Amino acid sequence: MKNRIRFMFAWHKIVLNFKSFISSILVMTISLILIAFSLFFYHGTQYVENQYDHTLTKGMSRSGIFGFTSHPYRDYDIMNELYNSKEIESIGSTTLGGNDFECFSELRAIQSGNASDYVNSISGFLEILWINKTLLGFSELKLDTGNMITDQEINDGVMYMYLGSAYKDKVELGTIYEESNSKFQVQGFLERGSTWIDPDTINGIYVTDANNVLELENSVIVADDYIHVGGLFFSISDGTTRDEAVKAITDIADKHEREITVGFLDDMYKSENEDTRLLISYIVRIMAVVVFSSLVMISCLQIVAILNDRRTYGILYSIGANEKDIGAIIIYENIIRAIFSFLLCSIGILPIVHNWYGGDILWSPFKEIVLQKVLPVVFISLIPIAIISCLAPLIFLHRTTPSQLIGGKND
Amino acid sequence: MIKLENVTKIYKNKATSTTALRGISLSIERGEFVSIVGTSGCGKTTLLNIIGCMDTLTDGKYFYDDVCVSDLSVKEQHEFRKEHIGFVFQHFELMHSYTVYENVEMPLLARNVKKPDRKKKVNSYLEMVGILDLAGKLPSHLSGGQQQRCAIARALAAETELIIADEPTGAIDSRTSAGIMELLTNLNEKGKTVIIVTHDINIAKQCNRIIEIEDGRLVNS
Repeated sequence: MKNRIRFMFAWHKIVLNFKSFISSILVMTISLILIAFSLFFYHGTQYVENQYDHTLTKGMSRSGIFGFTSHPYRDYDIMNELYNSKEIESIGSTTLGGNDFECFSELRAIQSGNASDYVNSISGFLEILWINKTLLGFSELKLDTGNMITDQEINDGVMYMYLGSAYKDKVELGTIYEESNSKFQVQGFLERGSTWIDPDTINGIYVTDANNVLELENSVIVADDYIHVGGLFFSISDGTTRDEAVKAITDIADKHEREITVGFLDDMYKSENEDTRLLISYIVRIMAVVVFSSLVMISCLQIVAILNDRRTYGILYSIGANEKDIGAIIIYENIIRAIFSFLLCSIGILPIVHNWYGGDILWSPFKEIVLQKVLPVVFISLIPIAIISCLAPLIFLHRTTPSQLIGGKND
Repeated sequence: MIKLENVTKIYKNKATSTTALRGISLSIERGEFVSIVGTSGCGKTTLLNIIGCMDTLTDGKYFYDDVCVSDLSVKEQHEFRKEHIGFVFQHFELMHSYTVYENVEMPLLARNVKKPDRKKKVNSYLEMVGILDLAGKLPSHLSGGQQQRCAIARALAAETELIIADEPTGAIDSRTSAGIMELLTNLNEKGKTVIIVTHDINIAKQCNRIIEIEDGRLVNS
């Protein structure tokens, strides 16, 4: 029997036994959604960690935050001292803020023109990413043109600006903007694809936050020395251990009689998301149980369907079909079930992503997690589910004679 | 053509075992029109199922020409049945969701016959059994006799030399039965070997040879 004919039989059987088909689809879809859910949880946490690790020059384990317990008065001294110590690679604060200087009108026009791409755009203001000069090495900021100056000495009161790639053909290198005794000079244009850590990280890192990293296409970076927030990011030098770095920081803080708290980003991430991570580890284990249970349930449903329809198989044998034909018909039915279940699962995962990250489905995590990691694994897991769940019915048919299937009297 | 040597069939379940056939030995030649008669429960359908490879024997040997069918594997028996045997069942056993045409077409689909040839053959078999005008109808819209003719056409479509019919007139009235027997007789006259099972001696007398079975044993062959 040709495959086309076998498929036709399989499709026709599905149409005839539509209620049974729907039941098995529901079982399969729910199982797949649970598998997808588990995978999404797992990869969702990995996504956050990966975002930080890809952005941070030293990675999460060698980058941290130390916070002052009082207003950052005289903290320039501490910051400069730490920057000059061999244990610390980069240090400083970073924040996002709006600026309404008239001199920035040109930049504002360019930035607001691309507002749909610029997640943190503030209407009527130029959004500036303030970064201490001593912190510029915290992320791998690479310049397409220009010069990255990290010297902490202020030069003629000029603050250096680094513009995203969207400004490159529209603003000249070296352009100066002046207003209210402030002077800004464009010192360089960032390479396409540059990223920076979200300054809100200073308040915590959460698995449900997909906006941990800022893309800098439309950003305006101003490198300054002013400590904007009551905490500093830092990264440690190569060859320095975490304990040595902590000791260096606390020694300097003690020297200046300041009370501080010090923590590395990976530890912060783990402690802030301990419950979620524990839940995820259990969910991943439950996934294995779900896969096994779905195999059993689908096999049972298939056996019931075959028992209800055994007369048809007996007739097929009597007209010349063989075991290969019957087996192929059953497998084709399962493949059709699997395809429908996969499509329903793919739709079903969308509200999960939506609710996990809140608000709109953010394209980047959806594409990276769901399309590249979750759905391919779910699809591959369908193959054993579809094939293995056929085994019991096929064994039953193999062991039953055609006359038993048709169910004639034994006289 | 067909040779059975000391064939026994025992049905076993957890509580009991039932011996349906006890040491049956017989032979059927090519071109014969044979009826197997006996009372209900005597083993005639079991014998027919064994000859048609729809069931297995417990003991003994079954030869078809030079082939020891009883020694074939399950896979080989399926192929053997496909090549040599066409079936007609008592309750027609048509696929109710397929039309008359599609039911008769099925054996040809199983044998990978190409579409133009399939159409020609199906139409010729439907014409042979006298129901060409009913090709587009579903079995549920046919009378008993028409359904049995459809079942016979389906068996013919298998294009085998042996046709086995289990109580072909069992589910239809006597007048229609006459038509069915006439059809089977014609097929035999055209060279088919036909074996039928019946409990009706009047039906059996229309065949060339009668094999009598009683309580699983051969009484008269």
